[in-house]
Amino acid sequence: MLSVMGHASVDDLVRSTVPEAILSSDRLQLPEAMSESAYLDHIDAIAAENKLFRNYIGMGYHSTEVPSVIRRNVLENPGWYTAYTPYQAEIAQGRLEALMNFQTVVCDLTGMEMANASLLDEATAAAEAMTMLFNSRSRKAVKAGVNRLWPQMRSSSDLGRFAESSASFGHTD
Amino acid sequence: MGIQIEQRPESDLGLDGQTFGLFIQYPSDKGRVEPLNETIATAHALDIRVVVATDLLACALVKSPGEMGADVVVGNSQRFGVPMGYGGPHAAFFATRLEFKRNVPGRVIGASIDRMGRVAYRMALQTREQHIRRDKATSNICTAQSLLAVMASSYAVYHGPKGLRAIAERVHALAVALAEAGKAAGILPVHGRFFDTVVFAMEDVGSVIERAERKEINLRYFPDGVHVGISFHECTLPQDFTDLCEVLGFQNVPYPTQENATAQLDGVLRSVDYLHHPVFNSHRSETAMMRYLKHLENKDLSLTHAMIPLGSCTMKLNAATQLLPIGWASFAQLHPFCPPAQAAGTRQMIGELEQYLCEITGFSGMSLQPNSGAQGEYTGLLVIRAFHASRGESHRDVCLIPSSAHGTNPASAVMCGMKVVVVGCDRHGNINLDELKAKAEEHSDRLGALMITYPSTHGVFEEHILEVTETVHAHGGQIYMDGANMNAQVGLTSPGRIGADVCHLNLHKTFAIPHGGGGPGVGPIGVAEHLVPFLPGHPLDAVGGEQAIDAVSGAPFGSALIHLISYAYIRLLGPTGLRRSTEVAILNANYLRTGLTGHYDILYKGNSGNVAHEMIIDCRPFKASAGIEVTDIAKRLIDYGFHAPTVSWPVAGTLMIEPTESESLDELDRFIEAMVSIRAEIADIEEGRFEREDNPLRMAPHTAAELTATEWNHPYSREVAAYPVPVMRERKFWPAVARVDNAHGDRNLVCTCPSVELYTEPLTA
Repeated sequence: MLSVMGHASVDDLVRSTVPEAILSSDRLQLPEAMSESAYLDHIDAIAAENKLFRNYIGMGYHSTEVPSVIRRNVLENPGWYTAYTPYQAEIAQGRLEALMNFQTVVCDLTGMEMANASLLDEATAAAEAMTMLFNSRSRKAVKAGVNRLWPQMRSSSDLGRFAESSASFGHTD
Repeated sequence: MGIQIEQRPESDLGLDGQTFGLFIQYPSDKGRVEPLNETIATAHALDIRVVVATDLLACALVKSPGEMGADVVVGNSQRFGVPMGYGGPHAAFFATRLEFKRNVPGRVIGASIDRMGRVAYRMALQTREQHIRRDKATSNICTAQSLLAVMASSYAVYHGPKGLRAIAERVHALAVALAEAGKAAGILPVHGRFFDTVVFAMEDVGSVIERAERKEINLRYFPDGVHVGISFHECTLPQDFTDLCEVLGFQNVPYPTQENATAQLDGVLRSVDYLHHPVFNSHRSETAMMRYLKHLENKDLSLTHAMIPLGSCTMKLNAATQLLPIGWASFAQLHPFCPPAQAAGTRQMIGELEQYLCEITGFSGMSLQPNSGAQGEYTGLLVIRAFHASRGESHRDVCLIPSSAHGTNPASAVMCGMKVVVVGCDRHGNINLDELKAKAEEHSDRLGALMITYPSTHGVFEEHILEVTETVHAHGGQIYMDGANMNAQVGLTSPGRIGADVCHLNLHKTFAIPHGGGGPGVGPIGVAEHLVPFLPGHPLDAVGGEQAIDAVSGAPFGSALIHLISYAYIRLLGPTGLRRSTEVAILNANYLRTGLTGHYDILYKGNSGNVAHEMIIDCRPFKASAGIEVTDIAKRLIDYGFHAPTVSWPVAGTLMIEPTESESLDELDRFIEAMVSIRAEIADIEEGRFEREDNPLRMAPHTAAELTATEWNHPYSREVAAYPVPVMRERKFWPAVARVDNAHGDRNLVCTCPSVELYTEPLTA
C-alpha cells in the first residue's frame, strides 16, 4: 500500500501529512493493551462492584423485561446496531419501518397526530418542546409555567436552556 | 433566548398575557393522575400552548394527553423493554399536532413512493434540520436514539395493544394494593388517583430506609425527609410485593389480582383505542416476532455487509468484546438515581474513562453527560459562556464559525444565545486566515469563541492551525473544537496541543460506539484547566465543577451504559494500538486517494498532496458533461453493494469518503473498483454509449422485482444494471425499493404506519 503512494513507511506518511508543529512523539500514558479474554475478566471484576437492588424509585426510569427475542435479534445484532442513519433510504427500509412503528406507538398512546423518530432524553425533549412553542408563539410573551415535574427535569439547563436567569424551583405537587 | 421559567403551584398557575407556554407532567412528580382538560382549556383561552410530559405505559390505561387537548406531548420510552443502564441510552419521544409539522425538532420518518410507485419510507421534511438550515434550524439535534426507538417499538409490536394494556393494569393493580395496605395501617397515600406510583408521608423514614436496605430495595426518598415514593413496574413479583409491605411496615396483603383494580381511575380510564394497525396485532409468537425482525433487518445494509465510507462519521468496527458487557444485568439494570455506592463499578469505569479521554485529548477535565455530539457542542459553549461570565465578560457572545463547519455548529451557537459570524475558506479549503484576523479584530470586544473542526471538515490537516488558535486567544476568545475528526488525531496530536479550550468527542465515531442506525451517541466534552470548574452538574448527584453549569441531560452521566464500549475500546487497544489505529486510518484514506486519482478530482489536499483520514471527491463536473448528479452516483453505489459516502457535505455536489482503519486492503480495492467502474459508466454517457436520461446511474438502484419482471424497457441490459462488476455475483445486496421520491412524501405527509391497502396497488405520483 505504501509503495503505491510513494512512502517508505507509515511513519513517513504520517510525517508528511500531519504538520510538524503539532505532531507528538510522546506515547499516550494509558494502560497497556489487553487481550479480549483478559479484558472480559477485568470488566467482570468491575461489574461485581455494582450491587443490584430492586428498584422502585421511578422518576422516569423503571425496571423492564427486555423480551429475549428483541434482545437477541436487535440489541445484540450487528445487522441492526452497525447501520448508519437512514439517509440512503433505499437500503434502510427495515429500520425506517421500525421507526414508523415507533412514531405510530407514540401517536396512538399520546393521542397526537404526528411524532418524531426519537430525541435524546426526556429532559431535552421537554426543552425542545418549550423552544418550539416559544419560536411559534403568537405574541411577545416570554414566560413559561412548569408544574409537577421531576427534579432532574426542573433544573436541567435543557429546560432552562432558555432561562437566562436560572429560576429556582420548588416542589409544587 | 430570553425565556423566563416559573415553577407554579397548580392552584395558581399564574397564566397571563406574558405567558406563551405551560409545561405539565402527567402523571405528576408524585404520581397523581387527574384530568387536565380544564387546565389546558384555561391556557388555550389565553392563547397559551401546553406541553405534557407523560409515560407511555400510563397512556395505555388512562386518558391520553392528546384527548385532553395537549399541544405537544413528550416523554421517555425506556420502560418499553429498554434497560435503565444507569441513565441511558433510551429513546425519548416528541409528539404534536400537524399544525406544527414544519417546526418539529429531530428526524421524522414518513412514507413516500419509489420510482416504481410502491410505498417506500424515508426521512421526511428534512429542510427543517440543521444540516440544511444551519443557524435557522428548528433544533441542533442530529444523532437521536434510533436503536432504542426500534427496541421500544418492537416491544409494542410483540406485546400488542392488549398485552400493553395487561402490563399497565397489573402495574396499576400493584400500586392500588399497596395504597390499600397503607390505608389499613392508617397511612393514606398522598394522592387518591395514581397510575403506578404511590407516595406516603411516613413518620419514621429512617427505619424504612434501614429495612429497605436490608431487603436490598431502593425507594424514592424525598428531600423533605417525610415522603417516600414507590413506583411499580412489570418486573414486580409476589415476593417483591410482600417485601415492600414489610419495608413500609404495612400488614402484608395478598399479591393483587387485576379484578376491579381500575375502579379508582373512573373518569380518566381509556379504552383500548390504540395500535389497531396489523403490525401490532400479528406477531404474537416468538417465531413470528423473530421472522418479522429478520425480515426488517434483511432490507438494511450495515457494516455486516460492506464498508460504509461516510466522511466525518467514522463507521469503524464495533467489536463484539467491546459490546458484550452492556448486556450484563449488573451494568444494564442500575437505576440512575440509586445510591452511588451501588454503582461503584460503573462509576469506577466512568472515572477511568474520563481520565483516559483527558490523556488522549490533552485536557484537564471531562464530562460524559452530553448524549450526542450536538449536545456536547451546546454544553461546551455553555461552559465557555459561564467562564466569560465569571470574569465579568458576559458580553462576549460572538461566535466565529468557518463556512465549512457542520450545520450543528451554528445551530448550537444560536441555542446558547450567541451571534454567529461566518469566516470564509480559501481555495485549499483552509480557514481564511486574513479574514479570521480581520473578524477577530472587528469583534475583539465581544469575541466569545471560535468553533473549528480539526482536521478540517475538508479532510486536511491545516498547516496554520496554531496561528488560528493564537489569533482568537489574543482577542479574548475561547477555542471550541468539534471532535468529529478525532479519528485522525488520537495518539498523533491532540486538541489540547493544538490550543483548544473545549472539545467534544463523538464516542460513536472515534471510540467505537455503534451508530445504531441513527443513535445512540455520546458527546462528552473535554476542557482545559481554567474551564474545569464549569463542567455540568446535576441536581441529584455530585458531578461537575465547583461553579457547574446546570445539567444538560436527565441522568448525571448521560448514556452511562454505552460508556462501557469506549472504555473497552481504549483498554483493548492500549497506547500503541490507539496510535496505530490513527495511522492506519490515514494510510487507508491515502490509499483510496491514490486509487481514485485520475478518475475523480480530490477537492482538497495538504501541502504534501496527502489527505488526512478522509477526502472529498468532486462530482460537480458530471452534471454538465453527462447530466449526472452526485445523488445518482450515491444510488448507483447501492447496485455495487456499497453504502454511499457522505453526500454533498461539506461541499454541495461532492462525496466525502472516510474508510477508517477497520477496512482491509481487499475491501478498499473493491470500493475503488466500484468507483472507477461508475466513472467509466459516466464516460459512457458523456460519449453517447448510454442515453442521458435512461442509464444505469439515473435509474439506480435497481430492485430484484424490476430486474425479474417480464418487461424490461431500459436501453441497457439487466446484467449491467445488477452485476456491473464480476465480484457482484458473489456479494449482491438487493435494495428493497427503487429510488425514493422525497418531494412526493413531503407533499403528502404520512408519518404513522400507512394502511395496508397502500401496499397492494402501485400508486401514481
